[in-house]
Amino acid sequence: MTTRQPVGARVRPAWLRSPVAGSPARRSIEPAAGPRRSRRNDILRSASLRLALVYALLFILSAIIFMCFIWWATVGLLEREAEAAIEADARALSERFAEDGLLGLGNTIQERLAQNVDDDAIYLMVDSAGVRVAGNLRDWPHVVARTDIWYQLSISRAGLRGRAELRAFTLPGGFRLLVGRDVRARTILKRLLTDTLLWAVLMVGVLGVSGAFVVRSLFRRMVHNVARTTAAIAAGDLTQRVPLSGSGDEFDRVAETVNEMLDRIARLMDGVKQVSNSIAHDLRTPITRARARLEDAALHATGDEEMRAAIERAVADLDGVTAVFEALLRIAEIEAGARRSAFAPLELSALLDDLADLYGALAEEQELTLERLPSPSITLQGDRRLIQQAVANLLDNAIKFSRPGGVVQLAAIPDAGLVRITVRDQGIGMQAPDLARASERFYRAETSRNMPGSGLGLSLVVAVAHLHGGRFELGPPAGRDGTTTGLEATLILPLTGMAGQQQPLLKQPVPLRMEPPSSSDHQPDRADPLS
Amino acid sequence: MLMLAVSVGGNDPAVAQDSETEDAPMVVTSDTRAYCLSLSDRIDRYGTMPQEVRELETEGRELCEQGRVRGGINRLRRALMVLRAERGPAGESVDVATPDKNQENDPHE
Repeated sequence: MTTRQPVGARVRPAWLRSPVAGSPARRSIEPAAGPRRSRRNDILRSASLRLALVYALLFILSAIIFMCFIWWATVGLLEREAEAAIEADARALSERFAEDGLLGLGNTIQERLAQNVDDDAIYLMVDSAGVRVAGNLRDWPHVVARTDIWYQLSISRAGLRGRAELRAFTLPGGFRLLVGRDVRARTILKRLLTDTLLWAVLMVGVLGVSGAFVVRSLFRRMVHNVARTTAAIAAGDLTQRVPLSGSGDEFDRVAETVNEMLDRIARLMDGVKQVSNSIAHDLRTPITRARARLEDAALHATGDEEMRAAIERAVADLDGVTAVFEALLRIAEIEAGARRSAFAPLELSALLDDLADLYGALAEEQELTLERLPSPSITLQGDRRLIQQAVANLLDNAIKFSRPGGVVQLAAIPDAGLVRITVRDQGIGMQAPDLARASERFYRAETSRNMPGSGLGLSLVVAVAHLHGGRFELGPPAGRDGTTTGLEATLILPLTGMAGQQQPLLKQPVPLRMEPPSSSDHQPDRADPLS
Repeated sequence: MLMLAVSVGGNDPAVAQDSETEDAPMVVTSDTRAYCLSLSDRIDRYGTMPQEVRELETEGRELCEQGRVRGGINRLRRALMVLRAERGPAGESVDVATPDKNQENDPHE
C-alpha cells in the first residue's frame, strides 16, 4: 500500500531514508518541526497576510505623504506670508526714509505701531551707537549682525515668552533698522497642526491595520471557498462546485472558470464510465458468443467440418472484438493529435469522386442512388486517409439507414475559408435526443440497434474533424418539411488546415481499412466497428 | 535709492535662530501701561470724536488700568484706526535723538 504525499511536501532522497547496507541501523535525528515553526512558516507564507500588509503599508504611507504635504503647505504658507509682509513693510519704510529722512521714518514707525491692530508688528531703529530711536524693542539684539538672513528670536510680551521673525536693514549714517513680526500665533498653529496631524497619522494607522484585517478576511473567505471545494473534489466528491457571490467580480470569474472545468471533468469522467460500460457490454456479447460456439462445438460437434466451422465463426467474433479495440485506439490516437505529421495538401474533389465511385456500387445493390454533386476544385491541408475514412463512414451510414429507392447526395461546398463536405440521405433520420448523443462512443439510437455497427463511426468522424481544426454537424436536411425524413451530416474543415501548429513525429502511419463492407459481410457478427 | 538691504523675491535667505530657553528674550515695549496711556493721549488730541471711538477709548483705558494691557491697547488702536480713517493722522513727531522714556519705565514690564 502506498501513501500519498501531501501537496508541496519535500521528499527525502532514498539514500537518506534507508539505512546504509552493512552498517548498524541508524535513526535519523533531526529537529522536530513542531507545530510552532510550521505555523510561523504558514503565517509568513500567507498570501492574504502579505496582501493585507501591502494594503496597510500603502494606506498608511499615502496618508503620511498627504499629511506631510498639508503640513508643509500650511506652515510654509504662513512663513512665506510673514516674510512677504516684513519685506513689504521694509520696502515701504525705505521709501519713507528716502522721502522724509530719519524723522519721517521714526514717525512712520510710531504710526504703524499705533495702528497695529493685529498686535504683531516689531520695529526698532537705532543710531550708530546702538541707541534706540524708534520702535517697540528696548535694545538691538546682539545676535543680529547680518542683513542677508532672517532671524527667529525670543521675545517677551507682557511677561509671556514668544517668538518673532526679524530682518535687519542698514540705513545711511550708521543707523540700523529691524523689522519683524510676532509669530507666536503661527507657532501655536504650527504646534497645533503638528499635534493634529500626528494624531491623524495614528488614527490612519489604526484604520489601515483594521482595513488590512478586513481585506485579509475577505481574501481568505474567497480563497477558502475555492480551496474547500477543490479539497472536496480531491477527496472524491465531484458534485461540489465553488459558490458564486453574484457580484460578477474577479473571484466570481475564477469560480465560474473552476466550475466549468469541474463540469468538463465530470462530463469526461462520465464519458469514460460510459465508454467502459459500453465496451464491457458491447464486447462481452461477441466474446460470449464465441465461447458459446466453441463450447457447443466441443460438446456436440460430430465431425471435423462442424468443428472447423464453429472455430471459424468464433475467430470472426474475436476478430470483431479486436477491430473494436483497434478502432478505439485509432480514435484515441487521432484525438491526441498524433496524426498531424501526415498532413499534406490534398485535392478534395478527386478524393470525393473516388469515394462516390466506390460507394456507388454498394448503393446500387441497396436500390439507392448516390449523387455526387458538382463542386469546384478544392485543395486543403490534411490527412488524406483520415478524411477518406470519415467521409466513408458518413456514406456507409447514409446507405445503411436509407430505404430502397432513396437518394444519397455527396457534396463539397467552399464557404469563406472552410469547406463543407455534406452527405445527405432520405433515410429513417434521427430524433433530437439521439442527434445530441450520436457522436458519443458506442452510442446507438433505438432505431439502429438492429443494424450492423458498434457506434464508433461518428466518433471517428468527430475526431477527424477536430484534428483538422474543424467540426462536425448532424441534423435534418436543410429545408425539410414535415413529410420528409432523412439526415444531413456535414464535415466542416478549414481550407488552410493545421499547418501553423507544431506536428509531433510518427514512426509509421496507422493503416486504415479502406474496403467498404460488401453486402455479404453485412452480418451482425461482422459489423464494421468504425460505422 | 534703496539703502536697505532687502532681498525681495530673490533667493530664499537662511534663517538664524536663537536658543528658546537659554538666551534672554527681547522685551517688546508696546505692551506696557505707559504705551497704553500714550495711545489714549493720542486719541485725546483729536478732540471731539464719534461715540464709537469714545467707547473704545474708555474700554481700552479701563482694561489697561485693570492690568489687561494688551486688550486695552487693542481697543485703543482700533479707536485710532477709526479716527484716522475719518480725519487722518494727528501730526505727531518723534525726537530721533531721544528714546521714548515712558515705554522703558513701565512697572508692568
